[in-house]
Amino acid sequence: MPNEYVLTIISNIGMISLIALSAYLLLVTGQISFGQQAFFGISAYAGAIATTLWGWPFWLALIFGSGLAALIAGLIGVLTLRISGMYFSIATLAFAEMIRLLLFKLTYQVEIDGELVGPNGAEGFGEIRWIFDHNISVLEYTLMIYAVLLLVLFGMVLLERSRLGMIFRMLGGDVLLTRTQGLNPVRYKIAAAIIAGFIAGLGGTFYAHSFTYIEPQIFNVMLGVHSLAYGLIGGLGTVLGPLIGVAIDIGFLESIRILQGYRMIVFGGLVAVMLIFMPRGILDEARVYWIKSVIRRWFNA
Amino acid sequence: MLELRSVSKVFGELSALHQVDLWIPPGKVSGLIGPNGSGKTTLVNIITGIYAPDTGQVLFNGVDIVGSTADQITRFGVARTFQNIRVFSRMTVLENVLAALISLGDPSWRVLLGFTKCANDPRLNMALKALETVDLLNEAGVVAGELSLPLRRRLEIARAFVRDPELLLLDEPAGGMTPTETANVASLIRERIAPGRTCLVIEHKMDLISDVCQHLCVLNHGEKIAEGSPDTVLEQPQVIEAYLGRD
Repeated sequence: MPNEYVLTIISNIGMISLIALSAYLLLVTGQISFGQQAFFGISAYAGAIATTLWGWPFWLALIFGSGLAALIAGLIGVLTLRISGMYFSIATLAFAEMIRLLLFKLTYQVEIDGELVGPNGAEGFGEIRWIFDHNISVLEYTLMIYAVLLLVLFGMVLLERSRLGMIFRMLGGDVLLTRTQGLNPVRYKIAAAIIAGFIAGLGGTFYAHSFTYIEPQIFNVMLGVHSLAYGLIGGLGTVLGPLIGVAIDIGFLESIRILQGYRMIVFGGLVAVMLIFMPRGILDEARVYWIKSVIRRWFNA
Repeated sequence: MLELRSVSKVFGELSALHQVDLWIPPGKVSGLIGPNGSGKTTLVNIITGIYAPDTGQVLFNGVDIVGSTADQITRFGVARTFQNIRVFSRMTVLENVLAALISLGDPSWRVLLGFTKCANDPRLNMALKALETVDLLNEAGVVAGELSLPLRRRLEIARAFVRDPELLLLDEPAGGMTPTETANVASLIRERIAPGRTCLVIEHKMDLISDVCQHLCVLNHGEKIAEGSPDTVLEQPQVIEAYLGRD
């Protein structure tokens, strides 16, 4: 039986993988979003409010939080339709900061067992006790996270093999060329934003219930930068890319704790060097096609 | 089929097209020639909805398509290639051709969520047949960005005609090619692409134009200076002057 520290790292990898997959999906469509942490945060608050203040079952809260994140992601998708490249990135960053600052203003507390519970601005939102109230062990919660992660991965693998997935890759390749294939990019960019918002939201609700305490500062730009880096490190050629990125990030950072304050410098340097030599990550499209062809030849032989 | 009436387009101070009338006869290969900067690609971009003209009409099967978006015009039955080759360079050759077929017919969510390479999907057979036509079947699994220039041009042609468009626009299909490669492209267009199809070929290379075109239009400084059969058009003094200059 793995100890709690290891399980916590494993569950962390699972939750962060969801926001990594969210950023990855947008990267595939050619959009660099610095704002996925906002949808993670929206769902963290909404999901936690639903279980803690309203007494909803966890799974319903998970759908509610993620659905709300998806809805807002869709609205932001509509607002940012006409911008691309750097301007899109700046707009998503500005939106995410706006959400974070709004969370500082969010006060919604309800008296439970004689105590005020709920988000209280900068003081955050504690007492998110669904795990304890239902006697869920760390192992059980980790399994819940990975069950959802596997479902998301399965869905994304199917998506990658579908025509919609191909359209997402076409948009990432050449928007004008996609248009001249008879496809209206608007529809598909919004679809990608909604799906990505939902996936980030799944991670957010899990995160809030795992740590039992959340505050606006958690959902700052560094979470967004990391979520982008996962896909860019692991590779944009396959859905497994961001997961490899998360494992490298969290696993590597944990393994060099001995370097204390210098570990982020070492890690940042390694990422920079890697992106120079592998700009689309370890498992980029060319390597994925090569691996597939090797496997195909191997099976044929 | 396609008719342009008094089409004009100005970019800043530059008049790219001025009152251009053009008629593309159905079932024939028409050519559009002119020196660099004469407005050929601007014209193609207007026909395909990438630019909107400042004035004038673009009638496709009698309907004015000015104001329609590029994706709508593709779905009306107009397909094109690009002067500066555009392929989805990180996708395979087969996927590039399949990409053109997604919007064919009913692009409902049920279709969109279907698998791209489903064995019993007619789109897959159409794509493979198109690749066979341009002799790219053996490269179906190759990443498009790794193809040589002539093969990428062939891929663009396959992607454009796989939808069986009513009007096929080929923008410099032999751009950057050697004389031998140009002759190969000419024979590909003449023997396998053009029969039974309405095409507009935009080209500099006169040998290709006179090889494949039955109708020719010449642009110079954004204005149409000649139109008719290639033999007669290429002998007209204003055409010779546009290409070779005045003595």
